[in-house]
Formats: sequence, structure tokens, C-alpha cells
Amino acid sequence: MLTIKLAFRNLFRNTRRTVLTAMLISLSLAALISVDGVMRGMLTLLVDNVTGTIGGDAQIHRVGYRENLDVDLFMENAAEIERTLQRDTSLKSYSPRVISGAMISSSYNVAAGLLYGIDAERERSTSKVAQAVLRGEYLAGGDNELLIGHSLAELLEVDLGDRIVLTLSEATTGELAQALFRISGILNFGMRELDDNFVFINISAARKTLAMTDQQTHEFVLTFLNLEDAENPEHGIFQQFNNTETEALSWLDLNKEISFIIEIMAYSSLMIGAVLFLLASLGVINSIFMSIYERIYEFGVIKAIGTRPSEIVRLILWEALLLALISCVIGMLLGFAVGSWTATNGLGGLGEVEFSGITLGNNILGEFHISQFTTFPFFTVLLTLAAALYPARFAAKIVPSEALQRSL
Amino acid sequence: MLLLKLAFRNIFRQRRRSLLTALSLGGGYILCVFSFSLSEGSYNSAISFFILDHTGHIQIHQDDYLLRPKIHKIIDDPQGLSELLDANDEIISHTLRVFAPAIAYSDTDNAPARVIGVALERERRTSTLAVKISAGVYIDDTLDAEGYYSAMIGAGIANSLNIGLDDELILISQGADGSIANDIYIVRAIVGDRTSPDRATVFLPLIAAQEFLSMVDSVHEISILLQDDGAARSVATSLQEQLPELSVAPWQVVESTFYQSMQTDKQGNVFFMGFIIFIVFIGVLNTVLMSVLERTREFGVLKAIGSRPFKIALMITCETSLLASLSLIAGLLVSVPFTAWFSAVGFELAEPMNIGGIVMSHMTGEMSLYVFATPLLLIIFFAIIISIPAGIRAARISPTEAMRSH
Repeated sequence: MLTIKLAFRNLFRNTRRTVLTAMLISLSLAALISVDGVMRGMLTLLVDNVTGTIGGDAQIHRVGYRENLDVDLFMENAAEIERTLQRDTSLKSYSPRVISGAMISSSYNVAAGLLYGIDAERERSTSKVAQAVLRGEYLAGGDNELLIGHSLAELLEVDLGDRIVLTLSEATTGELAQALFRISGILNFGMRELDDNFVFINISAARKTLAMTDQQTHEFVLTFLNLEDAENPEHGIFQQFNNTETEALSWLDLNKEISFIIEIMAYSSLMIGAVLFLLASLGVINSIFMSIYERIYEFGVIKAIGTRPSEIVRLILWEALLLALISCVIGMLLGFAVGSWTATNGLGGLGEVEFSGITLGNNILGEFHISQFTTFPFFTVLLTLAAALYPARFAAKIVPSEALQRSL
Repeated sequence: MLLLKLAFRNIFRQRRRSLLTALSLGGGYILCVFSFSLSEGSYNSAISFFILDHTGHIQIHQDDYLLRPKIHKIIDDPQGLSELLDANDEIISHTLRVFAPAIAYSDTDNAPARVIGVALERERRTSTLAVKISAGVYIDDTLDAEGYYSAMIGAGIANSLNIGLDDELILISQGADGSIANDIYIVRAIVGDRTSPDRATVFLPLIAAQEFLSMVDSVHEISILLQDDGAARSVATSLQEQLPELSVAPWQVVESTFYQSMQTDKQGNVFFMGFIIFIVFIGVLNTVLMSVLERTREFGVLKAIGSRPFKIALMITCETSLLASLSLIAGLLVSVPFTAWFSAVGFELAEPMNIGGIVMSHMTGEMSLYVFATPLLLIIFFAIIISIPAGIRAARISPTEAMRSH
């Protein structure tokens, strides 16, 4: 108890120095909490965009289909696959799709794009197509309904009710097919790739245009009740559908770029933390050394009257611990303040970065996580104590006769 | 000179403290150099890649073709424009292109394709198209014995249509006059692989594409390569003045999403580096204030024997700047070879990243004055700023009180 009292008193003998050192530690901790919060927010945004928009948590295709999106590489037994998917209780929803490259023409212009034939009702609970309707109506099952991305609509100079001709090749015969649709809805996903290139029609109309039967499907998109199931290659769905005929891939496998960035992010918090605390540790070592130099006479006296070196080490470590604890409280409060601000306001004035077609900017909302207020402060205290060891050892080795000869 | 000597001596009075401060200053500097070098190097190599791959430094279009491409938005005197561009000393080369979406057919299959007609010889000098050929030869614009033009096709198209070199390729599209465009071409080269951005592209000789799309003597795009990488904006402005009826855009506008993303990322980088320097300087401020505090008595003596306050403040500034300079020299000694190695070798990303539509797969450093000088000047500037309050404190010391203190 006496050691703690002494440590506390020593800490406030030079208030300015203690305040500056505490600032060093607390600002580093606050920065780490804020950066981690923003990274978590960015990750949520990326994952939401990738899985929530149209990609789903996992997808099933025929082997080889993904390489070139060949329209003739479809799965034959849609009903059987659906039965299996229906039985799986870990799935939240699933939806079949028919996909083809197409020339999309209006009366004014023509563009190459991608046609998605979707099951309107199933898709409501699987993707964000219904929520992306900016104007007009979502698909209701009609044969000539078509949804189009807003920037593609702009390029083709068309609006609601206008005619669109899709030119594509039939899946089974390879014959050229053309079909007329009317725009029933304009979409805005906020993802360039989707808004620039995609049109959606009802799956029955897509199958008819591509001369496919109602058993033939290019893709099943799945969402899980628990995202972790989608990331587990041992899960039944992946075991069952990864065979010579079909492949089932999780969103991580389907979006290597995003999974790579997630890996990088996991390291970057660690790297930023390491750099910040290395620099802060140098300041802490320096500050503790200064406080020891000031008291060198004092240490000489207490050693001369019989204080053991281990007790001096303990005193310095207590000083460091108190400094770390005070700094952590300030750092957590600051981190909480910055985190709360970014959680409601995003990143403020910073510009936008488009990553994998997803625009990241003010839409990144900082996120709190328990580790920011437990693990981070714990390591901050540990590192401050580690930084204090060197000066503590120095203080313990002070020779009383030499120290007492110095006036200061 | 005496001031410098004194400052030098004072720094080495407390070797351990000076060393620790220098370590954090030097470490902060190395970190900033590394970060700037990585960011500048990687972005610059991505920029040179897409400039040579397809964008060029400057592009010329009719009207808003860049944003809303339409087959009718044509440049109708490409020859006259070519002569003007050839006469410009700032321009290395330029190429003429036409674009159209089409359906490509083989005997058995069909696939959507993007047709690009290119002025073959000019394209060879302006972009890396010739280098991207993975099989076959770079075509010319002559008709073969049977009256067919040659074509170069992306590997994805070749795969979808199940065709290879010397096979026939049929293209169907819409002509500029509203007619149905269709013709047969002979595949003479495959471009890239099945993952390349060009995988669904068919490259035709300019004349063949113009005939196919019924747009003889007109083009959609002129792409220009400049002598000086940094002159894109200024040359674009002067070309725009000469060509008021057309739209001239530097690469920063052509690839605006990438450019904005890059600027934001760099801003974020500068902000973070600023924070690192701030953290370093809290430590430095602590050191400088302590060194003033422990020499209170000394400053009292100096003032008592007639030293002017300004001189004392100047000495503190000299000490801090000298310590910062020595740390920076050490930082430079470490960072120069490291950055040189990093800019020469770099590293491949495990997965390429798509930033604003541009795929970046290689991270590399950059050796430039900007990379080394920016953090150096920042640190020197902060060192001087931070020494001012400590200097003022030292200068204000009252000799009588100071000499009474321990």
C-alpha cells in the first residue's frame, strides 16, 4: 500500500511531464480504438455489399460455369437441388437464377450487359433487388417486365415503360434469340458494376428466351441464418454440392479480393497498434528515465538506508502501472468519443474510395467492439509496464555512494 | 558557430535521453518515408500500366462520348486531327479507335463481345496491345486472298466460341446508320488470357471496323501518349483550346473514379502520417521541456553574466533542430537503401485489388525527392515549432530565482 501511495505521489511531482506522457499513451490508444472501429465499419460495409446485394452467402453452379459464364453450362436438376435446400435448416433463404450475357438495345443506343432471370418472390428474401428499386415497380411475374440499373438506363436513354430488346443466344441450341421487354423499374444498388451492366427479368421469361426448361438453372444463391456456416467448408451444403457436377462456394471463395482485404485488415490493426505503441513506448521510457534522474539522490538515500533493489523496481513499475491506467481511462474516453462520432457521422469530410466497385466513404460507420475496451487497454498496460522495466532496472542498480555525491 | 557547438554538447550531456528521442524521431521518419514510398510507387505503377494499356495520357472524343458512349458520337475528321497531333512536340504518339458492342459467332457458338477497331501501326506505338498477344501475330489491315480482314480476339471469346488461330469469326452488330452490321473475319491472334480485362474484346483493323459499322473516315476516340507524364492536364487544356468542338480529357478525367479514390487514399495516408508525427512530437516536447527544466540553474547563470533571452531561446531551438537533423540523417541512411530495394523489387499482392475500376496487383516503392523530402521538412518544421515554448520558458527564467533552485 505504501508503495502505491509513493508511486502516486511521485507521478504527480512533475505534473506537466506526467500529463504529456499520459497524452502520448492515451492518444495512441484512442487512435487505435478509432482506427479499429472504422475498419470494422468498412468490413461490415464490404461484406454487406458483397453478400447482401446480389451475391448471397454462398452460390451453387455447375462446375466450370464461373470461368466464363457459359450459358450452356447449366444445372439440369433444379427441383432436386431445391428439395435438398428446403430440407437444410441452417439456410435462411435460397433463390434460383438464370444468367446470360446479352446485347441490350433501346431505340437510341445499344450496350453489352448481363441478364439475370430471377424468382421474384424468393429473391425478395435473398438479395436486395427489390430494395434497390428507385422508381417504378418490382417484378410481379409478368413475361415482359424488366428492371434496369439507373446508369444503364441513362446510357440507353430510356425510362419507365420504354421498350428494351435483349439479343442473346439460346442456351441449348446456340441460336440467336431476341425478346422485347418494357421497363417496369429503375434500380440503384450503389455499386457501379450492377448499375452499369445489369438487367433483371422474371426467371420464367428468361428460361423461355434462352430456350431452357424449368428444371435448368445457372445459379442457386443461398443465404444462411448464421454467416459463420457459410464460411465453414465442412458444412453439409458444401460437402453435398461440391462434386464432379456442381460446385458450392462461400462468399469468401467467390470474392477473393474481399477476403484478401479482410486478411489485410486483421493484420493492419495489429501493425498500426505496434507502430503507435513502439513510438509511445520510447516516450514512456524517456519520461521514466527523466523522473529517475531527477530523483537519483533520493534513490541513493533509500538504498543507503536499506531499501532492496526489488522494492525500487516495484515502485517504478507501480508508477508505470498507475500512469498506464490513468492513460487508458483517458484513451478509452477519447476513443469512445471519436468512435461515437464516426458511428453516427461516418468519416466526415474525407473523400470516397471505390473498392471492388463498392464506394466507401461517408457510408463507413465506425463500430464498437468489446475488444477495443478490453484487449487494447490490457495490451497498453502491458506494453507500458514492459517499457518501464529498463528504467526500473537502471534505478535498482543505482550505487548509493555515487548517487549521494551528486547534488541533482 | 558557438551556439551550434553548445547545442551539440548539450545534446550529448544526456546520451540515453537523446538516443531515445532520436530513435522515435528517426523511426517516425522511416515510417513516413516507407508509407509515402509505397503509396506513390504503387499508384504510379498502376497509372503507368493503364496509361500504356489503353487510356493514354489524354483522350479526345466527340461531345460526352466518354460518359455516354453512342455509336453516332463520332470524330469526323480523324486525318486532319492526326496531322495536328503529329506536329505537336509534346506528343510521342496517338492512336485512333472505334468501339461497338456485338455478338460474336463461330460455327457452333455465340457470345457477346466488345469490338474495338484500332489504327494498327499507331496503336503499336501508343499502347501495349502488341505485347498482350498470347498466340498468333499482330495483324495488319490488308484483306486476305479470300477477301477477309484479320482479327485479334480475347481469350475468353476464343474459349466461349471454341475457336483458335485461322478460324472464322462472324460479328453481328448495329451500324452507325441503323443497319444490321455483319461480317466474317479470320482470327490471327489471341489476346491475353481468360482473366484479362480484354477477354471479351475483338480487335479489328480500323478500316475493317469502320466498314463494319458503316462509319467510314470517322472514329470514336483518339488516345494520346505524351513525352512528359506530368503534363497531361496542361497539354489537354491547350489541345482543348485548339479543338473547341471536341472534348479533350486528361487521364485524371478519363479514369476519374480511380483518380478520386487514389486522392482520398493518399489524403488518408497523409492524415495518418501527420498523427504519427504528432505522437512523436509529444515525446520530443517532453524531452525538450525536461532538458530546460533540469538546466534552470545553468540558464540563470547564463542570464546573470549577460546572455540575452533571445540567444537562450535560440540555443534551445538549435538543440532541438540539431537532434532532429541527426535523427533524420540516421533515418535517411536506413530508409534510402530500403526504399531503393523496395522500388526495384516490390511485391505481388496475393489477390489483385480493384481500386476505382483499376486492378492493382503489384506493390512497389518509389525513390523520389518528394518521398524523402516531405516527411523530412515536416519533422524539421515541427522540431522548430516545438522548441519555441521551451525556448520562451528558458528565456524568461529569472537569474535570482534560478540560481536559488537546485
